[in-house]
Amino acid sequence: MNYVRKKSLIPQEIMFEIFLWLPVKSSMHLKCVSTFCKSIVSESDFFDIHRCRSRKKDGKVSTSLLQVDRFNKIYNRVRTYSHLSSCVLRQKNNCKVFSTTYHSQEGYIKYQIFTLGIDKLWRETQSIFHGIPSGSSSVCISGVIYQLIYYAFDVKSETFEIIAFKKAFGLVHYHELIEVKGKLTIIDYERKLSGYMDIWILEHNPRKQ
Amino acid sequence: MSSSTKFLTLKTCDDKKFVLDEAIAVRSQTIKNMVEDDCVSNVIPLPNVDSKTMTKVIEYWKKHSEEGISKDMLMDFDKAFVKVHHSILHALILAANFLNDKEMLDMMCQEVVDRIKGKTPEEIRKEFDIKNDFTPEEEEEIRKENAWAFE
Repeated sequence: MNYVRKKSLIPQEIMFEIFLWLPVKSSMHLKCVSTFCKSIVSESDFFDIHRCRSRKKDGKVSTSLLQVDRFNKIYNRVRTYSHLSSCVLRQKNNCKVFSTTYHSQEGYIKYQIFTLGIDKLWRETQSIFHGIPSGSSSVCISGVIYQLIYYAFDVKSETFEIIAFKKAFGLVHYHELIEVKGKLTIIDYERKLSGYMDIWILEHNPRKQ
Repeated sequence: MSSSTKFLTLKTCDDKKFVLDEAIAVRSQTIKNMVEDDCVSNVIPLPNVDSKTMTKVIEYWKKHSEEGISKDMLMDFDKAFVKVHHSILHALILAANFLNDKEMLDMMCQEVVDRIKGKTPEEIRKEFDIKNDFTPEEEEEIRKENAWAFE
């Protein structure tokens, strides 16, 4: 039975070639097709060969699977800890991930950016912005991260901006940022004790791309 | 010239014989090696190739050996040649691999690549009649690992 199934399959080395010719996204899809397909990508030298092959003739390096592997690890972490401000921006040719990690012992916040297809490693952003409490609420709307107190980080251009609001919001922990229909919204819990909750929806996002 | 034309007889696994100009048959590196090593008797057995597939292979070889054929004509021919059911494509890949015709093998593989590109795992399975042998848990795990590719 096993023999019959094997016989009807394309030899492993040819499948290996086919995998190498595929764009990264397609090879990820193919990986999910069957255990045989998965076993090929999981071969130890696959990453290396793919990386060598992904050098194009014009000197540009296309996305290699090794990058994807690194990217996956971080991307999944970013998704798991959603309380960290993070954002995934899908652009025309690539996918950009921004991640904020709070290093409590050293007392600083690290901002990291990874662009699939361009960056080989995570790079730290130039404009490190101090003084943002790690636990403060943040929201990501169309590639811009808004965080209390109050700044916006545009993942596309990688620039920070401080936002001034008409009402001065007090303690950070009484507020929460959410997205409502693409608009930045602040939930104000300051009057929570008296049974009220104020919701501020900004008609226009402070930053536009 | 014609006096030096040599013919080879190829025998497929289903016992069909093909008589072919040696100059064409040596597009197969496997056959070429056999000819060069002088180990060709009367008939060359091809135990891994059936006659239906061999007919296609010879059609390809003959076209690509035609004198004065334009590049455009060859491209059109190749385009039509690969538009076959995946089972034939599969048989042709195996044959090209066994016969060691790199040009043909590359072309067939490129076709497979083109058929996979832009398809979801389900569509790929359907296209190539591949059975999903993952448990639902395993599949979920792989999809999770590569979540960005599925959004």
